[in-house]
Formats: sequence, structure tokens, C-alpha cells
Amino acid sequence: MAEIEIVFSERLHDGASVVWGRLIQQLKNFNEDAVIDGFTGKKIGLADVSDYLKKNKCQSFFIELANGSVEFSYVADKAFYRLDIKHLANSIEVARPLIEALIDEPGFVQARIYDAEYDRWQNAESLTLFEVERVEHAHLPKKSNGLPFPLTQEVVDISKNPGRWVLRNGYIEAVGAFMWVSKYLLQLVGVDEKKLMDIDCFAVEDLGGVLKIAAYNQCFTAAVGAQAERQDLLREVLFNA
Amino acid sequence: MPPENGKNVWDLEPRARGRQIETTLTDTDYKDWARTDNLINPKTGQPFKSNNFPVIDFQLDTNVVSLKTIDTRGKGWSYDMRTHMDTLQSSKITVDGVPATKILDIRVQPGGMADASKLIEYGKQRNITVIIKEFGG
Repeated sequence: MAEIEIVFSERLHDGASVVWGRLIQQLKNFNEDAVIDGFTGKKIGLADVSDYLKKNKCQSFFIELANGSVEFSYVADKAFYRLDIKHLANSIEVARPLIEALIDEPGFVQARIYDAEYDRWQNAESLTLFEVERVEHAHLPKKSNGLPFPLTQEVVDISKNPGRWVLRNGYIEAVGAFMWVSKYLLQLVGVDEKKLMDIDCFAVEDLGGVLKIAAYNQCFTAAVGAQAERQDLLREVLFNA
Repeated sequence: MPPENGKNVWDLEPRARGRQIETTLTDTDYKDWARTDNLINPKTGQPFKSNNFPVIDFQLDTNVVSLKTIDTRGKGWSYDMRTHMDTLQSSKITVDGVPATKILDIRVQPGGMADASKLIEYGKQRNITVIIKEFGG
């Protein structure tokens, strides 16, 4: 599955209604007449979601449709809104227009398309996740989660994983083979736009306020070899990390 | 008779179960933590009204904990937890002006770990550390 992650700044106003309104035409392509409110379990007609969000003055939403979900929420501590579209797009071609419907929205910060399973295990820290799925973790580096008793746990140290993501103030430090980054974000993290444009192995297209980056010919699915090098380079250039 | 040592606590209705487990953990796991019901407002010298902390149960340094109990054999808990986490993530919580580390401590019935584990990743994306443990059994 090609998962979608989009970040908006706090400049986004009436975010839930606006974002849903921008997506609705694309979501109609999934041919689902009814959806589920993932906060209440209530069934709603797809065409009625906009009114439902307005009527209930929703600041966030979790809409289940076609075995997937569209999740919009505010991460207060990091001062951004995030939109996640999960298990809906089965290809890059399906994912791309969903993102492109939103990149000219004021407040757009960044977006990426990523492989769900690869991202999941690159970012899995809790040993509980490995144990319930019976995934071997003995070979992985470990560290303490740094929390006091009774919350102290040994977790997997993912700090060197090429596919890791980190929530930062105002953005997410994350890479994807297909990314859209606003010039606002480049300014925020102090990235030289020209340096990014000049890297031969990335195809970078200037869309105005946003740069579209193709860093690989498919979603990253490996943490070794050429894919790892490409992810590390992208992270270094975009986030100085 | 109230259940003792967590035995049969999962037979109680959800609200009573939550109260029973929270009381037990206040005296054991969280005995060194401040229970937010008892916090003193430094401006007034009086206890805060408990509804000042609708989603937080315990605090230690800059760590704040929301404690929840889930019987994963029941219905609707996924919806309830998403709603609760949405409230938690959208709340700006600081301790002495420092942004707090938000932790969701979930206690599940014996055997309930696998079903609840999907909340770990959901929380992480929302800057909430989710710790799941079985209680009783």
C-alpha cells in the first residue's frame, strides 16, 4: 500500500472542513457511498461528511472508508496538523492526486508517499509490537525509553534507521521516495534550495511554493544498499540530519 | 465484595473497573507520582478543581500519564480510545512552563495485549507514548 502523510502548519484555518472539502472529489473514486466516523462508529453518507464536520464543529476527523482511513488531527505539542491516508491508495498513481489536491492550500508544509510495512518496522520501538507479531528483535540495538517507573521499558533504538521519522516543531523529519516540500519548510530548516535542485540523483520540480521531489523510482522498502544511501542523502539535504 | 489483587476486576462494569484499577495503581505503581486530583494550585494554595485535568491522572516531573483500562473483548473500545487520544494530542500540557511528555498507560485484561497493540503506533504518530500492560490474571 502507498500510504500518504501530509503536514500543515497552524496557518491552516477550519482545517478539518477545508481538508475534507479538498479531498472529496478524489475520494469519490473509491466508490463508497457510506463511511464510518472512526471516533464514534457512526455510519455517514460520503456526501454528508462535509455537513457532519461543520455541524459538529469538528477540529479533527477519522473517516473509515473502503477498508482504509482518512485521519486529520492537530498535534498540539508540535504545532502542526497532520493528515494520514492509510490503506486506500494501492499505487503511487492513486496516491499522487490525493496529495496534489492539497499542496496549494495555505499552511501546506510537506507530504510524502511511503510503503506502509517498511515504515512500520523502521519506526517500531516498542518490543510489544515485535512480540505480538512474533517478529524477531534479538539482533536489533536496544535502549531504555527513558521514562520513570512504572513506565520504564527497553525499546528498539531506531535512531540510525534510514526510514525513521521524528516529530519536530512545525514539521516531521521524514523522507519518502516521493515528496512535496514547501519553500516555507525549506526556510524553516535552513535548506539551500539550489543545493537540493543540483543533486543529480533526485528529480526536483519547482511548482511555485512547493518543490516536488522524486528520490527513487518506487517507495523505499529497504534499509540497506542503494535505497539506504538515497534515504540518508535525502534526510541530510532536507533536514541537516 | 470488591475484587482483590486484580482478580475478577474484569468482570466489573467499565467505570467501576477503571476506578478499582486506578485505586490499586495509585497505591502501588504510581505511589511516587502526584495524582492530579490532589495537585495544589500555586496561585491560590488550594487544590485545583479536578476537572482542570480531564485527561491526566498522574504527574511526575514533566511526565504526565493518562491511565485507561480496556477490555478488548468488548465493543467500541477502538472508537473510545481514538477519541481520547485525539483529546490528549490536541491539548497543550505544560509542567512549570515545560511541554509535558504525554504517556497513555493502558491496562488490558490478560490476553488482551495483541488487540490493543495497534494503539502504540497510532499514539506515536500523535506524540503520545503508549504503554500497554496486562492487569490481573
